[in-house]
This record gives sequence, C-alpha cells and structure tokens, in this order.
Amino acid sequence: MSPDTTEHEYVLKVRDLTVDIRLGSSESRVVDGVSIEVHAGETVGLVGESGSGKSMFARTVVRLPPPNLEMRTNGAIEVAGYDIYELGVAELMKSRRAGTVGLIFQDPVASLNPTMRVGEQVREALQSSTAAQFTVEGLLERVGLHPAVSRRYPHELSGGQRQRIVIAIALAGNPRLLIADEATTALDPQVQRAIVDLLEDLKNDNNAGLLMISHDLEMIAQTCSRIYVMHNGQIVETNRAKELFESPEHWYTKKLIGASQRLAFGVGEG
Amino acid sequence: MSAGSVIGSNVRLALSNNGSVARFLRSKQGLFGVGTLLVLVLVSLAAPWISPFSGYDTSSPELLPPSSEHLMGTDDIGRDVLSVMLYGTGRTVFAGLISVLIAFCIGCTVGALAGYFGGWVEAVLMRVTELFQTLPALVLALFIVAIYGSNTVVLILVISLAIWPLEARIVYGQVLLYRSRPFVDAAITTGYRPFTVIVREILPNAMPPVMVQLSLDGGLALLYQVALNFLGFGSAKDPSWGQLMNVGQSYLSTAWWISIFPGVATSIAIVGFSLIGDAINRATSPYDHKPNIFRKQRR
Repeated sequence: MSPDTTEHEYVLKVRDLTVDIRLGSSESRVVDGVSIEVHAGETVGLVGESGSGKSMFARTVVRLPPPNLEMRTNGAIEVAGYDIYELGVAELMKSRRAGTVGLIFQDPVASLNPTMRVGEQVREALQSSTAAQFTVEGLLERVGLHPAVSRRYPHELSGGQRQRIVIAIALAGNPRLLIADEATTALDPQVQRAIVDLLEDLKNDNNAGLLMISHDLEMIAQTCSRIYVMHNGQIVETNRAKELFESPEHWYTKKLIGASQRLAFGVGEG
Repeated sequence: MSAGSVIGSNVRLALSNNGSVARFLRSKQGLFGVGTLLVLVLVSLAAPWISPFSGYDTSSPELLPPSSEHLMGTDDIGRDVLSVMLYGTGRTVFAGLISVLIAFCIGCTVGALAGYFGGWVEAVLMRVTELFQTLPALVLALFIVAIYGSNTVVLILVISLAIWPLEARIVYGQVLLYRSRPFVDAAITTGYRPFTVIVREILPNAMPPVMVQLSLDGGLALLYQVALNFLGFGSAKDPSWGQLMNVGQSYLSTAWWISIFPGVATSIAIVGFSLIGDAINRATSPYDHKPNIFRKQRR
C-alpha cells in the first residue's frame, strides 16, 4: 500500500548518505555523509561544480546506479514516505509506478527515445503509472505543448519542446518529488526561464517537492528557497538562498558566488 | 505480445523515423538483394507448377547435357537438373531463413539479458556464448547430425546453434551501449518493467546493426545448409542444391552442368543476402549519406 505522503512533512529526507563506487580495482567515495531534506511544496537547490557528486547523489536517491559500476551506499533515504533502500525490486517498481519521484535529466535529446513518437512515449509513461490522472493530450497541454506535437519524433522538436516532453514523462505519475538534474543547462536563457517557471507551477499544483541540481548558482538563487552547496561529495554549507548569497561562510561557497558574479559582469574576459 | 510482433514492431520502429527505409529503397544493391530473395521464395513456392519435370522423376536419360528439352541437363540417375534445383530451392532457402530466425531469437534474448542485467547473468550467458563461438560450426553440425540423424529439422537446429552466438554478441554490445542512455534511465525511474525497457526502449535503437548481421547470417545459414547437404548430412531422397553438387563432383569433367548450376545459384543467393546487409548498413549509417562537400570544389 502506498504511504500517505500528505501526513509526511518531507518528500525527501536523506540522512548521512555515503556512496562508494568501485570501477575495476579502485574504489572512491563520491558522496560523503550527505543529509538533505525537501518539504512538500518547497524548491531546494543543490549546487556544486562538475564532478562534485551532485548527479551521483540524484541517482542514489532514485536508486538508479550507473550500469557497470559497483555501488555501495550507507545511510537512510526516504522518498515520499518510502524507505527506498529497504524495498525489494518488485516493491521498488511498484513505488515508482505509484509516483514517488520524477527525474528530469540534463540532455533533452538523449532523454527521449529517438525511435518513438513523443506521444507514444508519454502514453507509455501514463500506462505504466498507477497514479496517472491525465490523458496524453491533457499532459502535453499541461506542459505548454499543443497536442499535435504528439505525432512528432524527438528530432523534429526544438530543445525547449523536447525538455517539456521530458517533464511531461516525469510528471506522468504525479510524483511527490521532482528532481531536475541540470535540467536547463542545455537550453538558451529564455527557454531556461520558461522551463524553470513551468517546473515551479507544476510543483505548486501538485504540492510536490522540487530539488534543482545545477552548477548555475544564479538560476538556483532566483528559484530556490534553500540551497545546499556540495564540494567533493560533501555538503559544505546550507542556508536560505538570500542569507547564503549575503553572508557565505565556507570558502568554496564564496568562490562559487565570486565566479558567478564575475561571469555576470564579464570580468576576466579577453 | 508475441515474439514475431515484437520483432516486427522493433524493425519498423528502427527504420521508420529517419528516412532509412527511403534510402534503402533507393539503393540498387538493396533492391537487387531483396529482388533475389523474393525470386527464390516465389520459385520455391511455385516449384510444382513451373518446373518442367518432377524433382523426383528419374525417367529421363542420364547425364544429358543442357538442351531445349532439359535446359540444365540431367544428372546421373536421370533427374532434370533444373527441376531438382527448383524443388530444392524451398528446402535450401527456407531452411536458411528459419535457421536465421531461430538464431536471432536465441541470440537476441541471450544478448539482451546479458547486456541489461549484467553481473552473474552476463557472466554466465556470455561464457556460454563464447563456448559456442569457439566450437567450429561445421564440426558441431557434423557431430549433432551423426548423433540425431539427418533430416531438415535437425539441419535447421544445427545451423541455428552454429550462428546464434554472432547475433548474441552484437545484441549484447548494442544493449550495453544503450543501457546507459538517459532515456533508458528515464524509463526505469518511471517504473517500466525490465521486459518493457528492453523491448520498447533499447531493442528498437539496437536494431540497425543487428539487422545487418541478420542478413549476413542469412547467407551464412544458406551456405551451411548447402555444405551439410553436399557432405551428405541432408535427407538423401529429397532434392536440394547441396545434394546436386555432391552428385556433380564425380562428373566435373564429363557433366559439369550438374554442379555448376547449383553452385551459381548458391553464389547468387549469398550475394543477395550480403547486398541486403550492405544496403541496410548504408541506409541506417549516419555517416554514409552526408552530402559530399568537396564535390563542387573539384570542378
């Protein structure tokens, strides 16, 4: 039976998570003692440079280990009331179909099956879900696309349209938690803004939690109420967005903010 | 969903959305290959009506050279060579095609499971595949035929066993390639069952190189079929191309027509399969149909 998540304040609660991966004979710790919480209706940011462990954290949260990598996890992960690592394989699939979490990836081209019409991909996502409330057309309209788009293949759509389809698929099961892993990085600034606004609207409509993972501090600052800063697999600082920008404490946070401001004002060019 | 409809829908999906079918139909090699295969299939179906004599009729004079009455001459027991070939086409071509289909089903299943699940499933299945790959195909075939006797069903199974590892390895490689793509991750996090992920998400993308291998294996299966019949492991009483070549080897200097005509037919059929494979490869390759940007500069 699906847990009643309305009674849970948190849609994501991670405690002391460590992730070790083994590739060949070498083993390395990619996530080190991370604790993160996301409330229902809240947008939380996770920032850090490339290779800091953000994406591995996201994969661990949805129990999606990279293929061909031996991964060992410690700690507790509770997503929408499910203790994800305590579930058997059948129960895990059942919880996914019940709409615990929707994951939105960075590259909208690679996130869609190139051999299927997008409408067919959305339909399959709806059919696999036990919590679906929309039709294909309804879901496409919900993410701001005309239903006629459903007959197209991914390569016939623009980057923004593709990312909207990816979001539609992630939303098919009405997930309690949406994880956007660099979901706007591959898009131009105007489309980025539109996609972020869409994610915010959808989150508010479902009273879901939204975890935005990005290295774009500016975008995270504009969108999220709380921000976690990740460096070398560890959370080095966490605060409300405003306080984090006004009085950063950790040297790495200061460096990130400084780099973001230099880019914004064009300092250091040429 | 039946295996046939899964394969059919995957092949359709793999070719449907990027102009591959149009490119295949525009290629002369592809059309020649498909045409050859169609002619062989039609001939095998219509053999009883279009052949001048029965393939089993031994009433004609022996070792007659090609003439207007016997276009390809007669063999050592008085059978019309053309009629024997027409009757043997079905056994040769269909045995080859069915062998390839069985090999595809086994190879596709083994390769997909090994590539998708990894771990001990991969270790066990790929070691079994390698074991079959290291066995010389013809020796394996001879061994099985020696134990279970020679008939068409045994021949088909033997040929399937000889070629399925080729399919398994290429499907395995393709599944490994697509297993880590984000759209597969997206499908898994949406709650798709492994069967759905493999059949709907991975295999349609993996199909183009698999289909190339499949068409090449068609030629290989046909060659094995002819070779086993040539070596005398087919049914002795039923006409086939390999059996005709076996008869003809004793009369190469005096009655060349007995072995030359089935030999040429075998070559044409194998070239047909190879051309289909080549055309599929060209039609589905992202590199082979780019406009030639240097053409104008050479003027």
